[in-house]
Amino acid sequence: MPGALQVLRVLVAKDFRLESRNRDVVLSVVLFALLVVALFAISIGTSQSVAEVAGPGILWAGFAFSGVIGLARSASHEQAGGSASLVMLAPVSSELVWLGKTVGNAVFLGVSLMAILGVYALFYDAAVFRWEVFLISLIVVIGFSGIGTLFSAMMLKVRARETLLPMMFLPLTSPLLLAAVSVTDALFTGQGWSEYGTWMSLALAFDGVFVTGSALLYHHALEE
Amino acid sequence: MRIKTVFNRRALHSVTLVAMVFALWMMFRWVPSDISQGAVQRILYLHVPVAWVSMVAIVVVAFASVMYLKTRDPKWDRRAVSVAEVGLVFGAVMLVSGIVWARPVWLVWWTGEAKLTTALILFFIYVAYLMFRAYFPPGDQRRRIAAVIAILGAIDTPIIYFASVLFQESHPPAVIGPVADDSAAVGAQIGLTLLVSTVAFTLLFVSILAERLGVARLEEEVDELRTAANGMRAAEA
Repeated sequence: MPGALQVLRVLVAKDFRLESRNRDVVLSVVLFALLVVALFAISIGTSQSVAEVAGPGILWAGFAFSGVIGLARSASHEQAGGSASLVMLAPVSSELVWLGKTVGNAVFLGVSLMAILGVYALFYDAAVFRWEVFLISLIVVIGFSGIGTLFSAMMLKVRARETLLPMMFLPLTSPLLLAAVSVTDALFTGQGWSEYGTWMSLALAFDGVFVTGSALLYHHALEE
Repeated sequence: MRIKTVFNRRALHSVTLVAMVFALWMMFRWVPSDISQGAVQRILYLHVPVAWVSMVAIVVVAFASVMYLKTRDPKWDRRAVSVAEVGLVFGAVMLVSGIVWARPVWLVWWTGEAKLTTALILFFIYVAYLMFRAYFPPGDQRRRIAAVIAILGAIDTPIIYFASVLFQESHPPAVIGPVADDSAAVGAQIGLTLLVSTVAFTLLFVSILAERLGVARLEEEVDELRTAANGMRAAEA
């Protein structure tokens, strides 16, 4: 029997191989997010006052919408390629399958978020490349991937899943988005840890509860 | 058994009718108008009870969903979906009555107030829960996944509320109406009317739920009969 790490490596490698064939997930997430940020920049401007009032909201709304598209595409790929049902036949725990898929999704979403941050910095001249922004980005990416992996698997058999996945996923992850908006808002306006420390803790606690919950409940999404 | 159930339901509906008529009389005739808000304050006697019922509904849906995952007995799933459906209608009434009340009192239809934000987000989660049930093929997998969604939604409720309170503190809402800073002094008559209307609306919820549960049982019977008929047709062929 292969060890857990070996299985994990195989599962993650499978996702990278699927992605390397057409680069569909990263491309769709990055392009859609860029489009959202660019449309906001064109329609409401890029002045300092806009950046202060709406900047973090634009940034995270762009990431949230594009992230959901990426998660849905990643799950659809797996279904279309038949690997979802084949993985279920493997004698490995559902938690490990979830972890493999979550790591793959986290890498795709992380790469996409870095691209979005770059474009946001370009339009709104914000100091995005600092460790606090990376920390909250990491927390959001882990939360999105963990919960998103569960939800995209649950939606595989649903008609109109392109509509239903965001309708279910975005309200549920709203505390994480509110935390991300508040932390970046505080950082962009030069406020300290005392202003965003609680939000950072809230985001961490949210990840702790929901990422664990997603891992434990994943087998319900797989079982026929 | 069926006759007894129908009789029990009729008794329940009769009690509900009496309670609702009495509550409406108290809301519109007995209790005096609020000095600062005027007649618009009477919306409170509708808004608070339906909000209470919607919150209880979330807990009941989560409990029924946990019980379904534990026992795999379809009756728990029937209870969960029935409570979710009726609870969602009450939730919609809560949102609309809150909006109608806020306009004259706060001078805005909507604001970033924590309870409003939480109610709206929860409303979306339960709309998605029911949409999922409508779009997923029937069977055990649908029941299990729906239970998972309901449980996650219920766990999320206090976190959403806490996040909304924090967000409201850092982004204060534009509550600038004539009684925005009015202290919440609830008089004895107001308190009693609220209590009676809460009991009446809870009874109304239970009454509608009893009917919805009856429909859910019939739906399941129809499904079973269809499956049996299909089996017989296949055997004949």
